[in-house]
Amino acid sequence: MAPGRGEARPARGAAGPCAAAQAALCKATARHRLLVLQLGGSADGPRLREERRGSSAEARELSAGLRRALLAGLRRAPASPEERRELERLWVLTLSALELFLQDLRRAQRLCQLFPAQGGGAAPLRTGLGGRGPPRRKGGRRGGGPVQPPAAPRLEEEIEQVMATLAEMESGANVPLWTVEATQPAGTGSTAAPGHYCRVL
Amino acid sequence: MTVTRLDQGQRYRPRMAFLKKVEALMMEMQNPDTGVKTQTQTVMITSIPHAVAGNDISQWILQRLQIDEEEAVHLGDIFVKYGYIYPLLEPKNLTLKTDGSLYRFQTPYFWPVQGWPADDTDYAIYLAKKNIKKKGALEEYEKEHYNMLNEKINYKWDFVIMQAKEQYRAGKERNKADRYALDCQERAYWLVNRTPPGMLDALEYGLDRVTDPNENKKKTKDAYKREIIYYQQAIMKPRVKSSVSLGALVKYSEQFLSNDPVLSGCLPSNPWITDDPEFWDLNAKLVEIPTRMRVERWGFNFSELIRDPKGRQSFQLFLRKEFSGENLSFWEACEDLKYGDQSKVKEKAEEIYKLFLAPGARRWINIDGTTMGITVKGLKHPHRYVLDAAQTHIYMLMKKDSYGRYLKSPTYKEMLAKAIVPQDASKKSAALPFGRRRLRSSLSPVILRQQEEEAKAREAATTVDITQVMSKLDRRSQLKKEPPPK
Repeated sequence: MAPGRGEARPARGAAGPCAAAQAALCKATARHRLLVLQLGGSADGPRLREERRGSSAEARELSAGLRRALLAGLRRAPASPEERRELERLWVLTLSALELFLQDLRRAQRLCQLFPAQGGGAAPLRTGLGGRGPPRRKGGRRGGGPVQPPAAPRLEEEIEQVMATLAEMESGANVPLWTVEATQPAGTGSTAAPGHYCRVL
Repeated sequence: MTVTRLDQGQRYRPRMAFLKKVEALMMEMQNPDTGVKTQTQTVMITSIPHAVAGNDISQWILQRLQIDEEEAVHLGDIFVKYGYIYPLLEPKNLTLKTDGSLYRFQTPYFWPVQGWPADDTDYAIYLAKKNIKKKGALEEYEKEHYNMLNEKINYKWDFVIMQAKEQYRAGKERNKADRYALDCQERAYWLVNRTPPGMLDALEYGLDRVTDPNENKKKTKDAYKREIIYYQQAIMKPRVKSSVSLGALVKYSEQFLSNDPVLSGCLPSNPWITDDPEFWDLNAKLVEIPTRMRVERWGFNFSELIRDPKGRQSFQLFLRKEFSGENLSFWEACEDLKYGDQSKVKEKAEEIYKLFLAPGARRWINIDGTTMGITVKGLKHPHRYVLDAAQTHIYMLMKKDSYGRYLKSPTYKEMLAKAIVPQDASKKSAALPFGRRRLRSSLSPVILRQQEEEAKAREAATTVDITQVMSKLDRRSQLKKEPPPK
């Protein structure tokens, strides 16, 4: 989904492409999470890290576009109150997705520090996952000096970028959280009587 | 978006230094040459590598750390409980079995981290995923959590469901063996971080702390100065040898053993067991005739006497005979100032001053000049502790002086002689299980308090202290000396 589409359209249709972009962002963050999950494990390797970087870039692009589109949509007078509500809902969802993404980025940073891609360092854990070329190094730890791959500083930049996006979104529009209601049901089946969530223990 | 709670500043997890240590060991265990040897686990038709036997884990720890078997097993058990290793056959049984039971190492993504607690949103996504996968077959406690989270983070519930679906789809793209391993990993993580009821939560640390253990305090000159002062004061703090303090504790326990209703039983009977409130009636605050145990207890030390209202009453009688009743009255007035109605602090302090401390007061107490000076100065700005110095002085006076004489006095001896020793009635009531005892309710505390206040007022009005008379005589003699030839 091209991120720029939302702002090109008039306000009436702003929610639609935003929703699609939001779905894409969810997908990107889910994929990114799966990749970060494997860092430090037996599936870890340069290819995995490349993939993670790509997935992270995609997610960041989508989020930047979404941010622009949503802010534009919210600032303009919306066509109808439903449109406004929908935009607010998407706004909250985007923020949630970004927070999750940021958390995963931080985890990735920590894992990359624990298991540096280059050099000796700790051998990645044997977690049972089939890697794509697991690099099992023997020998001692090499200090992470100038041989440090360019990935590490880029991770910090990624984190900063996402934090900036989050900050802009939070200060950009004034959307109270409690007004957003879930459109999906709880869906646990038998025990969830509608509206009765407190069980007597 | 996540809403952060306001919670009186307690929002930091405590130091968890053990995590880094466990991580270091974990990474060593991975070494293909010197680490733990691995096997392959067969699940249906797939085989998943990198399983380790419990026995191998404990043996490796034993050899690496040079400890004995019991400790090694215990340490390995801790690793399992913290979630660094998870069991394959019985996922909920987080213990290390030293037989051939298989375990696997948890991926570092799921290692516990001091700075990040397991997130509610993540848990909601996991439960939603499980819901989708198993079509609603969550466990009871999971269902509860799910519903609670739905309520709590309802505003991002759409995101939760969407993300769950996406994660599920992303997982499906992997091959079967990987998918199985990933599922096992995630399940193990949540079993550790959201323990089912009945299971031990190894990562629990009590309440959140006020200070951030990861904070890097700026080492300014000022900060160092403060640290130095702090440690100097710590060195100067008075210390008691544990042999001394423990000896005092033992002595106290021995002395009070006979008085303890739980350890030594109580006469006539324990009201909680026999439903007979006679024990409470006999030991009421201002009962006519106290029990023998109670009166004997007044002889243990002065604080026992003074904290018992009946004891105070008896002591006051004695003091009046010695013409020092104003001391105890002053002490009681100070207690009232400290613990009573604080809105009337100013008036109470003034009254006490007029009655006890002012020169020529009706019930003047005898305290030394310095204490009097401090007290009078403090009374300019009265608060609850303004009379502390004077009160302590009077307390010590009573304790060192009057108390000794009290214990030898006829007042006390009479009290002791009159005191009753109730009969042991516990067996009697046990013999009549169907005996209907008319349970009368005790006096309302409101009425009791009113009675006390009336008694106090009466006593205050009628007390004539000898000092009053003496001071009048003094003044008369002073007047005689008055005409100075100056």
